[in-house]
Amino acid sequence: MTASAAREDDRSLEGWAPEPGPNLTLPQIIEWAFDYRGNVTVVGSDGTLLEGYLFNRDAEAAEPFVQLYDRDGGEPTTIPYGRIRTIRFSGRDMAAGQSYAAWVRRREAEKAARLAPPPASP
Amino acid sequence: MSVPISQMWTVATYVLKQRLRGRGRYPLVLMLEPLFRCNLACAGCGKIQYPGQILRKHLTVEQCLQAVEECGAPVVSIPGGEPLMYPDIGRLVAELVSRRKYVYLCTNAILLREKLLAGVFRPSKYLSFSVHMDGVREDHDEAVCREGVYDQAIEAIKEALARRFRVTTNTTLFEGASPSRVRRFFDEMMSLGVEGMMLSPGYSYAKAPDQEHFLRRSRSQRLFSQILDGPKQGWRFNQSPLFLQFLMGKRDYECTPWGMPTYNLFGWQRPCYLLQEGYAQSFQDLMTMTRWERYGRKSGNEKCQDCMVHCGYETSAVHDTFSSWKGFRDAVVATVTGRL
Repeated sequence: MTASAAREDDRSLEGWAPEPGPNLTLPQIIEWAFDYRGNVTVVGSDGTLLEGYLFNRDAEAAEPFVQLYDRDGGEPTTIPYGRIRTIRFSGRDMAAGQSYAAWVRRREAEKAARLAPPPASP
Repeated sequence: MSVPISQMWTVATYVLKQRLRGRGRYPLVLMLEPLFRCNLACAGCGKIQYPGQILRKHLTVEQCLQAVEECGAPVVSIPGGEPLMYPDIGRLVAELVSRRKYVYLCTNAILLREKLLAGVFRPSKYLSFSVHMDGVREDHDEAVCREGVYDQAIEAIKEALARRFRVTTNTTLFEGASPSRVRRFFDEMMSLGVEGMMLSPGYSYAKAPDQEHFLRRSRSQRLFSQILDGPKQGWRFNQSPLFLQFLMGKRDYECTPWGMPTYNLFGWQRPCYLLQEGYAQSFQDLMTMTRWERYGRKSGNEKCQDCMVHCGYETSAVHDTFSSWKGFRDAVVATVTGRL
């Protein structure tokens, strides 16, 4: 799945593991990760892995960087773009699957269940 | 209009001081989000969809006070998340009151009665509970995706009023809102004895689950005109009458995105309360390093074209009040007569 396809049909990027290439640059992947409401795994250029929530990035800074809260929620970590190979969308997308329509359907189902006659006793 | 005289005076003198100092950009209200955790999951809210380690975190009181000092705004609004879930909410509010900041504690009121009975807060002219109420019972419960919340909020409002707290309501109106039901809702709130009501159209958060139900600009103006034309004498609004006229399409303003800056776990949010385009590490960086020309309707930014939300435009209305005799006169006339 491509990121643009995911956005167009409102599918989640959960599970996406992109590799930077001619058609998808690292800054583009970072923008998707910044927009993602779940934990991601930052793959370092030296192969190290850091999983956490990417809450900030600055592509226009003198040395562009990202900032993450790791899974333990300690102090934020700052990583320069230059030390990142790619980012995997490894954690659950917390914004996915919570549509208003789904809530209306759940509510209607609950109402119907309440109004349904109780099962006959044996 | 119902903003107390002392609060109006504080805001007026603050704005005039900023103008005399020649500050082109200054904050009016600090939006202080000590946590993202909430006990509701409303379909229109894009504020709470975060992984567990983020939802479990919160700012310390000291971090909050540091932000308040840095910002310097005379009014501090505490949204969230649900601020009554913040473990130090009583201490935070007491510290802000002692600094003579006008505090709007924005709450869904589910925990309010419990906190009041526990004596967490003391009444003060500086403290107002701003209770989230999106309409009459059926509309509110639908908006917050849980039945029974309206009744809980009403009980909490009564308890707070009985204990002589200031209580206002804040209402976000979505696509499909019925003007007649909203007017009935205003009557209900006024009959409870709340000090005033605040209104705003919803904004299309990129992460909000309910994308279809946010209002476009022209429909917003039509809706607010239908609601506010011929306002009843008893209705009181805790916001600028010029902002209400803007919502009705009687005035045109440009957004003031720096007017209500937001501070939370991630830092100072760029550029405003609604858009999350990055975070500055200090208030000074937010004000001086944000590319403000990229935001507001004139910028052509697609995300700003339909927005009429109070966090961008109420400051514009306040600025209008103090930047021309006409604005001042119009605000005074609307305040005194109640006509919009």
